[in-house]
Amino acid sequence: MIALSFNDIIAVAIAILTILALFVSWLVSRSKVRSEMRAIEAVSAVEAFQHEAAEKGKRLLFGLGDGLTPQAASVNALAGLGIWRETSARAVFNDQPAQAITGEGSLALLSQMVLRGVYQDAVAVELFKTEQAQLGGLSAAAGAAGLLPEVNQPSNAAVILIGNHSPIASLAANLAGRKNLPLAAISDTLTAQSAFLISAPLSTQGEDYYAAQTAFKLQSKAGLQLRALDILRALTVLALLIGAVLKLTGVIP
Amino acid sequence: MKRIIPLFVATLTSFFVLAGLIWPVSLGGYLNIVLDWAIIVGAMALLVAIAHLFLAQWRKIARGNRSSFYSLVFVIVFLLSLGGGLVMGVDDPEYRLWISSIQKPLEVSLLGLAAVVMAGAGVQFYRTRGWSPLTVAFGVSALVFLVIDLGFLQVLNSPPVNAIIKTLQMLPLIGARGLLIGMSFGALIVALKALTGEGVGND
Repeated sequence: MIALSFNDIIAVAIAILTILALFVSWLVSRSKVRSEMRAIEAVSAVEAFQHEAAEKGKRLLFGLGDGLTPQAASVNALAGLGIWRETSARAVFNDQPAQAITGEGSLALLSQMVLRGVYQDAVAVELFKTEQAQLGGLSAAAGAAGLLPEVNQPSNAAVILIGNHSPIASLAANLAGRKNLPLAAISDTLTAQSAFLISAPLSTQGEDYYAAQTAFKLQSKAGLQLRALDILRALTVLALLIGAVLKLTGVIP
Repeated sequence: MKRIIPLFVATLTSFFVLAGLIWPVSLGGYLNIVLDWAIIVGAMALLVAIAHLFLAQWRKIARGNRSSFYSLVFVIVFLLSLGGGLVMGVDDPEYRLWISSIQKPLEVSLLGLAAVVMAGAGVQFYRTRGWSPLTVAFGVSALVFLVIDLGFLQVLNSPPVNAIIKTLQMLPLIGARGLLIGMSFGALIVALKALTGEGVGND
């Protein structure tokens, strides 16, 4: 029998709490319609950009960031792939398909694999090109340097920065602004979120990054994650407030 | 079937890794083997991605686009770096100095540029987002922490001022902690979905 440390017990409790929240949201979703889902402005904008790109015959440019490096392997980088999949699926037969630039090798291959799956589903594998999901560079700076020339292309209709970005990505946001390109910036890192708050007209804060994929799909099943996040957010706020009161009253030393 | 097998392998692997973290004594040895496989696959993915990048630049040169000059520079520098690494070895101090002497100034320049751009964006922030509680709070807190970090107030060495500064310096930490707790819940949900093959573009 393995003795779990206090931290392990807390981690297990949080995991159970999350699963419970997902279960509760599933129960709620059975009786509610999808229109009741909370909208995330930056994510809703991606949908609008998509229509605009199709109308203008231009492409959507994705900066998928990095985050799967051996030094900092993170599931966070994968959250952007869902939106990449959905968007590229809707742009398969557009004049110009969506383009993605990543800042890490494995993520570049994953985005290519996802894209190939999209073209297979559309029975149009002959239209698939590996250049549609390219590696920009192998570090945050190199990735941003690889992204900047792509933002500068006249064929862009809008720029979407989604994934694990560093504040250097604000250069891409600034360039998009100078070229009057609509931009949505959705990142999981706090430093990038603060940089995007001032440099991008549409950005997400906090855990909304993780809800972006589900909010974009707008399916009742996808709403589970949003509802679960809301439940957990409310519980966290409650726990923090109770903790603060207990600390102030001296109950917790 | 083509889709089910990779999904099954991925889900099984993720549950095995999770079990290895929970029972390190019984499964720790096997976990290291699986992680080694992951590193090998990751390294191969990196090589393939670099090859794709090289080929994409090569095609741009072949097409003779306006930007093909930059692609030519990329290809030449890439081949030089690759050749240097193969001949001298990647651990060679001379080779490392050569690479870092090019890479570091470029990265620092980009960071400097980002700082200037963000300073400009900070001013434009009010024009694009207007005056709202969020923008006002942002501006006030940016100013307050700029002044505090300058260190002039600390020179006064006044106990009440120091106490106020100490309290104020805790605020970003509290805010970041609150955001990080929320984000950890989000990451947990994404991870739970990824465990079952969802959330990475497969659903």
